[in-house]
Amino acid sequence: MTILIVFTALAIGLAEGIPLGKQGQRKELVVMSTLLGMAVLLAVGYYLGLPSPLALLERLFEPIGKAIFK
Amino acid sequence: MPEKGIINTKQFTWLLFVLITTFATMQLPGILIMQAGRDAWLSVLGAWFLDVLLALVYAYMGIRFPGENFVQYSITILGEYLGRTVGILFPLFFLLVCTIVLRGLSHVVNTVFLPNTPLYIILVSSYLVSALIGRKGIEVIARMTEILGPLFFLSIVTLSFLVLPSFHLARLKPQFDEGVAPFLIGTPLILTSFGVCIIMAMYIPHCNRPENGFLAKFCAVSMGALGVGLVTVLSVGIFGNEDAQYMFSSGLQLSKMINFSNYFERVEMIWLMIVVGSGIVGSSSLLWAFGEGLAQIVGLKTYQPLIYPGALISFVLCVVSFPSSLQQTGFYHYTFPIVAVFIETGLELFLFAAALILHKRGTA
Repeated sequence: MTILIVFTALAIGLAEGIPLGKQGQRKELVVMSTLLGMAVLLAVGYYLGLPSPLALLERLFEPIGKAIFK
Repeated sequence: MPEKGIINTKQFTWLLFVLITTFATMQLPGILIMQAGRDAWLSVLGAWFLDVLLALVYAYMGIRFPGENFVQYSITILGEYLGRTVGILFPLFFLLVCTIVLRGLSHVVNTVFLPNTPLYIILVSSYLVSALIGRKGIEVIARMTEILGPLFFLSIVTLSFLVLPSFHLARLKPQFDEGVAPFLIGTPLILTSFGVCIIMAMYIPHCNRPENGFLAKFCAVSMGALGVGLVTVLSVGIFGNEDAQYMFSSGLQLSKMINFSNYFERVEMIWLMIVVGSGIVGSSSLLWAFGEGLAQIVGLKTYQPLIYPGALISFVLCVVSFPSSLQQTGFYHYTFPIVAVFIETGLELFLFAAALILHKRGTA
């Protein structure tokens, strides 16, 4: 799955990045690449056994939720 | 190019309706019945009332800051740095909702439609279609909801009439047998799902009549609450609250009960097709809102290159955070309401109070 995500990120980067580069939209290119990098990092982190951001949210808020809801 | 699409009030209403109803009818009735038991339908009414009150604040802010959505007026009110920090929470919240919606939807499709297909294939297909629609912009999404919205609403009403003979009013009685606490706890639970229509603040600047924002939201939430209320009350009245609370999608279970003298069976597929279509279009509007919001925070000329990366992040979150539907349901039940209350109500009321205290107004 991680390899698939890395290849998908590369494919999106190429498909969206080349037109942006040609049009000189550097800021858009940087933000898009950062988002793709985040997706890859999340996938690699999962592969390495690191917790996901939603798991951190869960750790933070689930006790409150369980105290309120059944 | 920045989003230049214009939608009318009718499209605005259907956009909100599709999003609220897909999000709230898919999994929520079961969770709500677990919480509020027979009083679940009263919680839906309470949530509808509170959501309409909240809509007043969003509509007022839309008029006070004409042509600006909450991402933009966060910056106007709180300044460059704090405004951007607060403003980015909204697009991230939409991405989170998109993750929950598509994970839940894929689970239903996997269980009912395609049991032999790996879940990830269904997820990838859903994300691909959502991202394709989201990249086309608000006008395309709005036109799709103009078709799917009425179909969805009609399907809920028709379903209700068809299963009505099996309904037992006695299963809804007595009301408040455990006091008002279950009703009072159920109300905020469903309010957080109705509250997803804070996305209206992203639509208002694109509406040809921004002053109709409240009207659109009122109609959408009223229809959505009717739909969720019907599914909830019928589930309790037909299955009983002891069984209905453990159903993943009680609307689907209701539709499974319909058959016409063995000639016309498996009507639930029609229901499911409409729900899946609405869910995908609803998710595309969430991806659009994520891209548009983030582009405005960072100051980009266009939001379109951010849609596919946003969809990829959401997909990865699905894979890494919810390997099983049990984890997704647990997150939706206990964690999402707390996060949602903070974003949908807390943050907006904070911006509203800050705008009043600091005497900030839009300049457009």
